[in-house]
Amino acid sequence: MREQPYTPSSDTSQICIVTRYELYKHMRSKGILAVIALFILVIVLQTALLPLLGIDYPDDPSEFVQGYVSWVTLLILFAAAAFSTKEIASEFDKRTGYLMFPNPLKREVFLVGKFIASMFIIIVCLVGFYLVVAVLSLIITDGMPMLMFNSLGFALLYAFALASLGYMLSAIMKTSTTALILHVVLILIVFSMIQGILMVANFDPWFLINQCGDTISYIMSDPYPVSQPMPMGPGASMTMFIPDPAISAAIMFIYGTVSTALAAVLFRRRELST
Amino acid sequence: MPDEPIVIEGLTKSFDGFIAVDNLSLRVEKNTFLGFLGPNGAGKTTTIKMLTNLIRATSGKAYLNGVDIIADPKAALSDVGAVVETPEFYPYLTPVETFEYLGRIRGMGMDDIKRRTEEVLEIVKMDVERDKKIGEFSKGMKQRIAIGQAIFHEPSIIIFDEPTSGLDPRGRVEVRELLHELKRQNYTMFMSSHLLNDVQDICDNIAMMNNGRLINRMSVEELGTIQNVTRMLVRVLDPVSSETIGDIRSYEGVEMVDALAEKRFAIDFKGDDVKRHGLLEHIESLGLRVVVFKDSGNAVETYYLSQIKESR
Repeated sequence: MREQPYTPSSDTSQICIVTRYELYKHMRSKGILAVIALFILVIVLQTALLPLLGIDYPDDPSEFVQGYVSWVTLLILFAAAAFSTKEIASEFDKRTGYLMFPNPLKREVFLVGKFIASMFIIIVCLVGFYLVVAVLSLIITDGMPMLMFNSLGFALLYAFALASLGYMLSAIMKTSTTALILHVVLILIVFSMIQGILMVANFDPWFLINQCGDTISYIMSDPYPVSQPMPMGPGASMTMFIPDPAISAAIMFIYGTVSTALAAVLFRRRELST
Repeated sequence: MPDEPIVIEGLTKSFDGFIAVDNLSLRVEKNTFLGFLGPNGAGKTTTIKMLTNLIRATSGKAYLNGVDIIADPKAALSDVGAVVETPEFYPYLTPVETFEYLGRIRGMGMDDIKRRTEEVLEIVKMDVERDKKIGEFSKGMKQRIAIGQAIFHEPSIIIFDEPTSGLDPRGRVEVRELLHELKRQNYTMFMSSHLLNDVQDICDNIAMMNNGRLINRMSVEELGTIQNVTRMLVRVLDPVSSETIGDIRSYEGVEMVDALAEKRFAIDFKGDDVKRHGLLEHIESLGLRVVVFKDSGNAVETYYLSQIKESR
């Protein structure tokens, strides 16, 4: 027994420690291999399919890049689901909380460390994707559109929003599997359905995270597209609403911060009683 | 360190109306071991979970080294090592990485982490597996690592919930030896266990719970004086007849005789050492050739069973 007990590391140091070991986890997991494989698959298919189908690559670099960027919302969804939804729930259903919680470590600090690690991995994947696309654009179209940076910015905001949502679901759900399924179903099916129904009803779904995510692709167009009515058969029409970039950025930021704050509150209150 | 490093005052926990721990008050003196006993569902693990920030108390207070665990869990747990149930580990980390992770969180420097990693891996007999991923370990191996991480930062308070759970007989003996070593080093220990002989052997005090309530707290020494019925185990060379058992049963101080096997029986006997010697002479006078005549050493067990029965 020590005469003088150790003083626990500061909250800031503990965030760095947790982040480091969470990164180990992600780097050693099968999830990262699956996500990287998905990113590579999109690049390979998008690059190889056009020539295989006898279609020429677009001459305009922006149009060329947009072809790849249109997949980014889906890629972010899978990456966010893989690196966020099990983070809190697994501490309970895999019982690792029994190891971590009796330590001098605030749960909020634990969550922030985990969240930074999750975001770091997602950011690395996204930046890598945009980098490869930029190189391909330079090789194939002899140009690289500067609008790619705007698109990347929106992609990072969308990743922040979806990862935060994943953490919130992870704090609510009993098991990490349920949180993962709910996250994917919510974004891919529920929100998409609401988005479609609202558009048919000529109601702008500006507040939906899916709608905001579409900015990642629209931002590559110059000039930026505007909302316009589309015919839907005799006497009927729907409006194809185009999200406003500033509003979308704000909404994604709000989704991210509110979901993270809720995740922290729920995680702090959650009991390891089973 | 305060004279009473663990103080529990009116601690209550209810789950949807079911009271798992009911107004528990308990104190553990510095450098003593407290055995926390009770049947399954008595509220032992719930109490330990409240002490280790796994669940929140519905009401009441608990202090570790004078710090309120509910108000400031980080400070309260800074000098505590705990094993609650059988914890799971991150399967992608090795024992060395796990100790380093927890050591850094607890504020240990790298030199101390390296020194303690060597010491602790040897103590828990896991030095050969030091660089293997914990995901490949058996339950018993994980329990050893769990005990290792609890003592890694040499805390003044150790809280163990069934520390020998999941261990094979050899592992249990090793944990018992470790507990004896910790006792020599003046740790303060709060330990729940179903192994009553171990508790009697290791602990200074016992606290018994049933149905969420504390039903008794006393020193093991005190228990020895109030618990005057001892169970004697006897083994003889020849088979014992029912008449002989009857003869033994009629001897003064004998409360009950249990025939355990053809050549083995147990006697519940009330009396001091002189009377016990008289009993041995009586058994030999009946023509039995005694090979073993020993105290089963389970005063805690006998007392525990009587107390739990009474409190039902």
